[in-house]
Amino acid sequence: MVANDPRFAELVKRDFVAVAASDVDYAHVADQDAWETRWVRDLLANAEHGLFQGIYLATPSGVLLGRADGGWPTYDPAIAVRALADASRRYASMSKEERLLEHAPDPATDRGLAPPDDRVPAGRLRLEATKRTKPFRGMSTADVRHPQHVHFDRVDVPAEMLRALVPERLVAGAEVEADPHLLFLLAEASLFQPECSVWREEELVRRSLTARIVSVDADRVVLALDGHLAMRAENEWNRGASYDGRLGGRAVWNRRYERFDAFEFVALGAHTLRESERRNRPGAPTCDVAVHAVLGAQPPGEGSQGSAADPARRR
Amino acid sequence: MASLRRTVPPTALVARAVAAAVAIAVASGSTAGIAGPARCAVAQERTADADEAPLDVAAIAAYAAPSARDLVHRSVDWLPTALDGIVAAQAADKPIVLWLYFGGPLGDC
Repeated sequence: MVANDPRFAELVKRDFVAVAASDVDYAHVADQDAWETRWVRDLLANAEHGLFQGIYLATPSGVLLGRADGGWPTYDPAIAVRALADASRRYASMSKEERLLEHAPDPATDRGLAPPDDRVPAGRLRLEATKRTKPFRGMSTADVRHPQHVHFDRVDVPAEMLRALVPERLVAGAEVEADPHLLFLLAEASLFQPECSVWREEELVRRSLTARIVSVDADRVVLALDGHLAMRAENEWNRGASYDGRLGGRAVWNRRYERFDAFEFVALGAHTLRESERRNRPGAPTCDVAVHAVLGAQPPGEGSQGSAADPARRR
Repeated sequence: MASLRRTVPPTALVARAVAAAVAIAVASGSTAGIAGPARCAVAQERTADADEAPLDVAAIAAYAAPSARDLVHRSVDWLPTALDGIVAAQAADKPIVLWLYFGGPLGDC
């Protein structure tokens, strides 16, 4: 409700340099003496909660100008926009010596946190997902399960697991069952619920995903996905959580280039919060969650079997 | 995500999940479209015999898909570490917005 506010985004783009990182990473990074880690820790030493999650406004020299996350638990973009404006004014009123460092840090020697490697690992394909709940009894906008919140997620799965969804015989009606471990990888990545929690493979009490060829038209093999997933968490971090859902999807396999031209996976299921979380949340402990995941861009050679070369080069 | 869970202790994950819950609530969300036709269709879709009915892929995709408003945060060039931000801000002589959450607006939770 803050980051997707157009006024907030425009001010950030115009007047600030934006950083999105994790307070947990800075709190637990091994090298607590690195220049970057000390800068973050010193910046927040006098903040209300110290090194803690929040939207902070700072000078490069390490002066805390304010916070833009007012209105908790439902953050108010109007407060955030005012905070940005106030910080800009204060920054402009500071001398160069106050607002800037004498020397810029050296990324080669001053890093505390390695930049995240966003590349898809070799041999894997990335599913990019969005998730949104259906309206439920007693829901509140302060709860991330409220349907006004859309959740972004992604999971990198072994390419051969998706490739195995294509039946050997490329004829209409041919079917194949997915590797059961594929559904665990999706569950492990919390793909079926708004937020993260811990699932063990043995807690998937029912899982199936069938791919059936709907039609074959020249090189295009059209597939329909259909399945079920039921989970009952018993591990100490997620005890009492459950999920009961239907799975589906559609895909187009290009048999000439041995890669998916399109791949969509959907799920609709009832997710129940773990026991320890139920008293902390307003509304019903169970809500239905709609999930839509698509195959991200496939790097050359990673489409499947390591043979999906760029079609343009094969002409 | 799968690889993350193999390397991070479950206790840390639970703590991160709490942080992520707050972060996502900030990072996303729109009041637009809840009552839109596709959303209503999904809301009414689950019935007593829904267990055996194939899912309507298009309806679920439409319901779960982000609106244009949901994607506003992606118009910002978010840098991944404080150090990268400090270097850029020092060069541009600008202040820094330091978004500190596990599960930020980049959708990498």
